Order: sequence, then C-alpha cells, then structure tokens
Amino acid sequence: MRILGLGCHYHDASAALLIDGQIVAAVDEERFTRMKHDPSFPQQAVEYCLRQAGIGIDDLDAIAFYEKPLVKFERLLSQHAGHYPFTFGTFRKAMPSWITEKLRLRRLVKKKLGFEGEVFFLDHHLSHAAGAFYPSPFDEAAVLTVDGVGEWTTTALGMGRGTRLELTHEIRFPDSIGLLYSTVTAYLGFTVNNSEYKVMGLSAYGEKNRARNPYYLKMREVIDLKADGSFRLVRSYFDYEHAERMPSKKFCDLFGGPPRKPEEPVTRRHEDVAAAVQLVTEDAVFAMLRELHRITQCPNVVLSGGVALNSVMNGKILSETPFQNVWIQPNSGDGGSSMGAALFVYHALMGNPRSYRLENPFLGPGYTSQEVEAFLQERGIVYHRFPSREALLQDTARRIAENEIVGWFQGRAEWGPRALGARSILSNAGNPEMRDILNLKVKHREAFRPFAPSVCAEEAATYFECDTPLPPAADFMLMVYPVRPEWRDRLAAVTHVDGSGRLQAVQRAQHPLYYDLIRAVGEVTGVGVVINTSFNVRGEPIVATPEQAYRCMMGTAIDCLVLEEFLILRSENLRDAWDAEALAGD
Amino acid sequence: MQPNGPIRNLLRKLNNGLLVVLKPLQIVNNFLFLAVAYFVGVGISSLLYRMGPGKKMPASTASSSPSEAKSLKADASTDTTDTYWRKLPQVSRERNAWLRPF
Repeated sequence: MRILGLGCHYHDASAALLIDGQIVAAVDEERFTRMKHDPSFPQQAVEYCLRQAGIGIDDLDAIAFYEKPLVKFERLLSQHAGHYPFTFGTFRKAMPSWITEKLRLRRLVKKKLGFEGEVFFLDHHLSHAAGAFYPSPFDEAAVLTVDGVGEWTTTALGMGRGTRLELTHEIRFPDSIGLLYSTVTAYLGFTVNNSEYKVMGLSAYGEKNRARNPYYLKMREVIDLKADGSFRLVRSYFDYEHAERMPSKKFCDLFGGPPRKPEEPVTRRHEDVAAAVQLVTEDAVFAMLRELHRITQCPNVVLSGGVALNSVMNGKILSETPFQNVWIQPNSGDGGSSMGAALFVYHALMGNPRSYRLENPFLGPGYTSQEVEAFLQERGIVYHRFPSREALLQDTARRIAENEIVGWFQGRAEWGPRALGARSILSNAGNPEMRDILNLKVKHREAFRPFAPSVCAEEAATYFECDTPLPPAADFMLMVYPVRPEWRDRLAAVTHVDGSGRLQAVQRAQHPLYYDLIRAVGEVTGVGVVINTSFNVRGEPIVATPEQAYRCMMGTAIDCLVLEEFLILRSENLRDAWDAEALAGD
Repeated sequence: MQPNGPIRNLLRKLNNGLLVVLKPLQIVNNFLFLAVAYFVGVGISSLLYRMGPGKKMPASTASSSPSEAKSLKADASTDTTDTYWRKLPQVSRERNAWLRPF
C-alpha cells in the first residue's frame, strides 16, 4: 500500500510518502525552491519522495490532501461577506489563486503529477492530530492541536486509541491562540508565519512574573480565557478578519503605541509585550491540557499545530499539567500535516495496524560520496578526503575546540524546521564568546536570539534541569529547559538570558556520526555540548544540496565544510567567496 | 537548427508579443470580473444575512463565524459563558465523504 500525503497552498508545502505503513520519505517544498515557507504545490517534494522510494506516480494507491479546500473557501467567503464592503482589496488579492488552483486540487494533482487515482481530503486539524498521534510511541494518547487556523478550526482536543483517532472538541476561527501570537509578532515588527520564534526568544528578556509584567493583564484583556482552556478573542483588538494588518488601533493603544517598525530598536516595552503573550499562551495551553487530561484520563499526550513548536511552553508541559508523557513530531506545523494525512488514510480509513514510530527525523534528501565528489570535481573545488571515520571525528572535533565554525552536511536532511545534525552549523559551546562570533561571522541575526545546544542524550541531565526520563520531543529540539546553574558560565554561548537552553538530546541510534562527534568534542574540550544552528544564509531555508552548502559557506564566514567524508576549507576556495549578508532577508 | 526553426522562433516571439499586449487587458478583465463577483455575489449574500437578524451566514456552518462576531459584546471578559468548547459530533463518515473536498 503506497500513499502520498500532500500539504500546500497556505504555508510550508510538503509531501510525505508512506509505503506499507512506513514513512520512507518526507520533505518540505522550500528545501528545493529555496523560498522560505513556500506554499506552492510541492512538485519537487513529490518527485523526491518517489525517487527515494524508486517508484513512479502510477505505483501510488492514493493521495491524501491535508485539508478540505472548499470548507476553507467557505470561511473566506464568510469573512468577506461579514465585513462587506470593506474587504474588496483582500478579496481581489485572494481570489485568483483560489479560482485557478486551490479549488481545483484534484485537477491540479492530475495536471502536475499525472495521478488519476483516489484523492482523499482530510480536515486540517485531523491531519495535524494524525501527524502527532500515529507516529508517536503511544498506543493511546490524548491529542491537542493548536495553530492559526485550518478550515474553521483553530484548536482541537481529541483522543487516539490504536488505529482510531477522533477529535471531540474544537474552537473555531476567529478565536485562535496562533493568531493571537501572530498578531503580537506583527505588532513587534516581525514577519507573521515566519518569526513567531523570535517573539518566543525575545520573551525571555521581558518580565516573566505575571504580577509585575505591565502588559500581562492587558494581554488577558484581549482574550476571554475560561478555566477549561476554552477562549474567545475580543474582536475589537484584531483586524485580521477583514484586513491584511493584524492588530487593530485599539490593540496598539492598549500596548502603548504603534507597531514597531522592523528597523526600530527593540525596547523594554517590546520585551515585556513578548513575555506577556508567551505567558498568556502558556496559561491557555496548560489549561487546555488540564481539561484534556480530565476528559481522557490518559497519561500520554501528543501535540501538533504551529503553536506546538513553542519550545519554551513545551518544556513546562510535564511540570504544569497532569500528563506523564509527551510527544511532539519534529514538523508539527502545517508542513507535518502531509505525513498526518497519509497516516490517517492508511490506519483510520483503510484499517491497517500501526507499526511506524517516528524516531528518526532524517527523511529528506541525501547524497552519496560519489555524488558529492563528482560535484566537487565538476566545480573545481579544492577538497580533502578524510582517510577514516575516526579521522573525520578527530579533525572536526579539534576544529570546533579551536573555535572554528564548521558546516556539517551528513546523511539525509531533517524533517521539519530544526537542524538536528544533518544540515547544521556547529561550533564550540564552551566558548562564552561564540554567540557573538557566530552572529558576527555567519548568522547576523538579532542579538536577543539564543543558539541551541546539542548534547548526547545520556548526558542531558548533567547540563540541564530536564524532565526525567527525557521526553522524546527533546530529540527534535522542541523542549527548552533551564541550564544547571553550575554550567551557565561555561555554556554561556547556549544559555539564554533567563538561564534556559533549547536542548537537542542526540540519540546514537538516530545519527551515530553526529553523536560520536559530540562525544569527541567533549573529550577535547571537557564540555560535551556543541552549538547547533541551522545551515542556511539568513532569510533562506536550510541548505538541501552540496552545492547550496558550499555556496552558504562561501557567502558567510564558515571556516570549513564537512561534506560527507570530504573536508572543504573556505580559505582554499576564496575565488568563490561572496557576501550573503548583502542579499539577506528576514 | 531545425529546418522550421526560424518560423517557430517567429511564432514564439509573436506569441510573446501578444501576451505582453494582452496582459493589461487581462488584468482589467480580472479586475472587472472580481468586482462583479464581490459587489454582486458577496454583496447579496451579505445583504440577505443582514436582513434576517439572528440567522447564520448563508455559506457558514459555524456559530462563531466572523459575522456572528459582530453581535458579540465588545468586551468578552464580562461574558458569563462557562465554556467556549464546541463538542464535535462523533459520527463515522462514509468513505466517499473523505473523497470530497468539502
């Protein structure tokens, strides 16, 4: 049985291929088109999935699409009618793509892929729920999905048992925790549907005491939050229903001024507003989880939707709610819904038993040594081949210990927005100045944003005050925990201003080479932690090919690139140098 | 070069030229079509809804549709409702229901 899951037309288009119950390939379209959060039809992602499995489009039994486009269209029309005649501008911009593509999905599938078999259409939040439950390690789990909006649903509670999955409660548009967070993202001058994680990073600088944060009670004014976690937003504070802007004038007045312009400095007020929305989001989600536990009485919970990428919130789930186990899939935003759609069709509709656990997030494209060497020779790039795996580990560990910045391209690419040791930039976490060096030489990002640490899973508790046993979601860099006080100075480069770190616990079974590298770094420096940041030029998706990795190194100040078994030094290839920062986006 | 290369080249350029000439016309047509769809289609739907207070939007099956939002109190923090969760009906859908985009 071969089922292709598809998601597209809003943001983070993706494809996932399921064969006999196993996900064999999954990737976001942005990795190929180089357009961050690309919403377009995932043509190249599909081609990759089929190529990886060695099958053609005619070998597929079905395609599963992650939402019901006509129901979403109904919501859109209802929005326009509800605010008639002030929505013509947004109507005129939105409609052409609906008429030509989004409403004709079956035809689009036939035209672009040549597929004439069955196309299943799932509900958006059911796809999210399926993407969280079916690949989880649990036979039974309560399910919470929280995002901006799907068709109508913005938040849903449910329960999964074996192959059965049901959503039992929902909250509908325009009441949305995701859209509240996005509204504050826009208010703080960042890009909606892209930079919500920046607000999360900024929130650590604001006042986290609810009684002392000057904007916490104001943030509670814009949302009517019930004890059971259900909520409504107070409409007068929001314009997103009928305009392209998100916060209304009333919202701006409440929070002390107009939206921050992107080039304006971040002030204490902005930090406190970010902290306030983070606190309110946690209030709401933890209340939902307590209610979900009351309803289901299940010790396990799985989360999905864009809000489930909020790792600060995720790190507190087990301490703030009665749940004992939590799992979050590495691509829990819309990108991951293609996988959920395929799994739902296979298990819930076709009744097949579950056998797949998403323990290995490396489902994207990879390259053989022969392919890499052919590329290096074709481009005339100066390179060296490591004589052995041991030599690769020792040399790379030494370079990291000597504060070099290393591009690390190994094996198949990660599924989801986080670099987990396949397409990463690595550096020395034991050097307190490394954050500034990385920002100065490579990432050029806002000073308030922290870098993430990778640590061997067995040693996580040495450095972090983490849950024990460590939830599997920590493998995917989805949990923030406090760094142990005795390590904060030595791990200053990965310790955020509030003493926390976005931990990635690396299991040897997932990525043996990366695991062994962290061990080797620990042997050289005495600190078994490396800085792991995504391998990309600012504003671009994570690199997908050797060509892009090389280009990224030569456009930044990455010192060397460990590309499979080859070492490429920037200093030996300066003829290809360019300035990535000159072309960087948000 | 193929024997009919120059003719193909000419036709391609002619086609490209026509597209350039017709593009503004296409934009105007699209604008007019969308304006009619909006001001007549969406407008009538909106009018029908407003003439019947308490009725749902013709296209909406949701109780918290944007139009309903207008009838909500300005400050929902004074709302006395105990919960905003909506229970979803637990009915098993037929296979065909999953094949429909609605």
